[in-house]
Amino acid sequence: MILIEAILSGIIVGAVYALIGVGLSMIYGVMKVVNFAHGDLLVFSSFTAWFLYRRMAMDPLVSLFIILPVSFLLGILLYYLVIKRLQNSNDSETASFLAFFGISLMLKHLTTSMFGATPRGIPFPYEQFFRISTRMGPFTLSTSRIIAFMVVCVVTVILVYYLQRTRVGKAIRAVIQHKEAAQILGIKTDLISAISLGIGLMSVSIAGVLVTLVFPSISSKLAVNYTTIAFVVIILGGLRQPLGALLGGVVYGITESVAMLLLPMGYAHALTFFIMISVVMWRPEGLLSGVKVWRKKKLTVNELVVTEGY
Amino acid sequence: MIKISLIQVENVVAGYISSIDILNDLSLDVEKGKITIVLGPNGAGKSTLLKTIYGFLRPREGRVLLRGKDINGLNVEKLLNLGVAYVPQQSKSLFPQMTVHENLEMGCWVLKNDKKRIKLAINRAYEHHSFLWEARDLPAGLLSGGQQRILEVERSMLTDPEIILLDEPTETLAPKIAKNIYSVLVDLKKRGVTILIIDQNIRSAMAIADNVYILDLGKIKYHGSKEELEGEMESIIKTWITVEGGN
Repeated sequence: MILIEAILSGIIVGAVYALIGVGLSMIYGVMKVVNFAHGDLLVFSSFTAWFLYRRMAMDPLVSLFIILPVSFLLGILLYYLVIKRLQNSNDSETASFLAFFGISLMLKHLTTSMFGATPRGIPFPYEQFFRISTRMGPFTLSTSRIIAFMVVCVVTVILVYYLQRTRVGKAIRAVIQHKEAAQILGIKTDLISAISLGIGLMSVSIAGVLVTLVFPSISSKLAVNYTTIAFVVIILGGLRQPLGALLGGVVYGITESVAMLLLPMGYAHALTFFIMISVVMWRPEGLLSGVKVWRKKKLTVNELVVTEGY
Repeated sequence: MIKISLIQVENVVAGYISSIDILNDLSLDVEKGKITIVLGPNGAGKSTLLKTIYGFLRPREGRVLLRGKDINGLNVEKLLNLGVAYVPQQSKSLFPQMTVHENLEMGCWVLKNDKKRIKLAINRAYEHHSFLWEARDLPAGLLSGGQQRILEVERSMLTDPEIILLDEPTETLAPKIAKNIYSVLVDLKKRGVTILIIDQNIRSAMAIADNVYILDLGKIKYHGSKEELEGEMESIIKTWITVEGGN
């Protein structure tokens, strides 16, 4: 019973990790640069939500209406003012990597200066509507975590719809897969990259706000942990597959949760990374590469008809 | 018969690094409604020529004219709207994890939200090649090499271009499949499309060509109609073999 509860908890926390990973995956996909400031951006938005709650008694989820447009705008500005210029340099990937590293340090100091180094927390904000914990059959789960999970589900549906069905969403996937090919077709890859960076920052900002609901406290020291988690999640899901990161996040969350139940903390983290390495060895292109193999098998049936002549 | 030039390349000098010119004072005419083939040994500057026409590389000197108007510096969107399409080497312009249908939709990017025209254009591609319809929901990367090439060519046709620039359309393909690709190009010509092809598959390319240019070290060495050059091809090929063997 405890194991199932740990798995459920892992799915919920993993959903938030998934959102962190989606953001990193989108940024990596279009720019081929790992955003080293990812965890710092998350922590910054967590503290912003805490600040708005403390000063204006603003519900963390309502604070998203302020945080999200600012994050998107920041992504657009960051692309045109920093990344685009660096991409014209001789070694654009190293230059962009160093730029993100600089942004990480800047955000770290900014967070500490603005909000202090003390860990902070938002008490359960929905006491007048719900109980702190919710019973679901034989299981007891934190209501905050259930709300966070529901938000992730809504965001996921919107994101999947946007990337799979809309014109700009498809262009983002096209640029992630093959930037030069997208240019040949007249797609404005700079604009698409800027939008993608904006959406990536929005994703991590939502995750930052949800972290205040999922975990009892937030701390600027945890930024590195979140960046590491984001790396693991996108490696599990496949580097160039934003939607694969959703699966990667849930797998990581369950692994972490179960490992922490069965093992002491240090060993639990070691086991989590051991599983990540095993998955990478098994499916180097991420967990979703298995789906591709399955689809390929399906194709071979059709190939007799389809490939004739070509 | 009056020859109408659709594209004129006039004394173009271009290269990737400022100190090295890949194209040296190169001039070339692409006749409207014809298939023009540019042949040449490796490193002659063939792909660079297409990239220069398509605006990916700005000439240091000279001009590229489309219907007599200078198109230097125009972006890709404008060129597509003016009726120029480009298919690069080795199926390099597909999105392998996107479906065949999504790849075709991306080919209609410059048509913006003209849903009616997009639907018509994509349906036309499906009519031309039924395998595209059958494979519409499969990732493009799972198609065979020949199918991917056809998909690229059909995708470039979605914007109704007047001219299509093709870089090595049959490279790495088996001869039987290459033959099919050439027949697709002949069909395009019948549909009124002007074609400029870069090719190393000399005999097959010559078979469908109207006009031929031989490029070497960034300069046009010979040019003429297919009939004019046919007799000289053997000696020209021997020269390449000597040069490449010597290198």
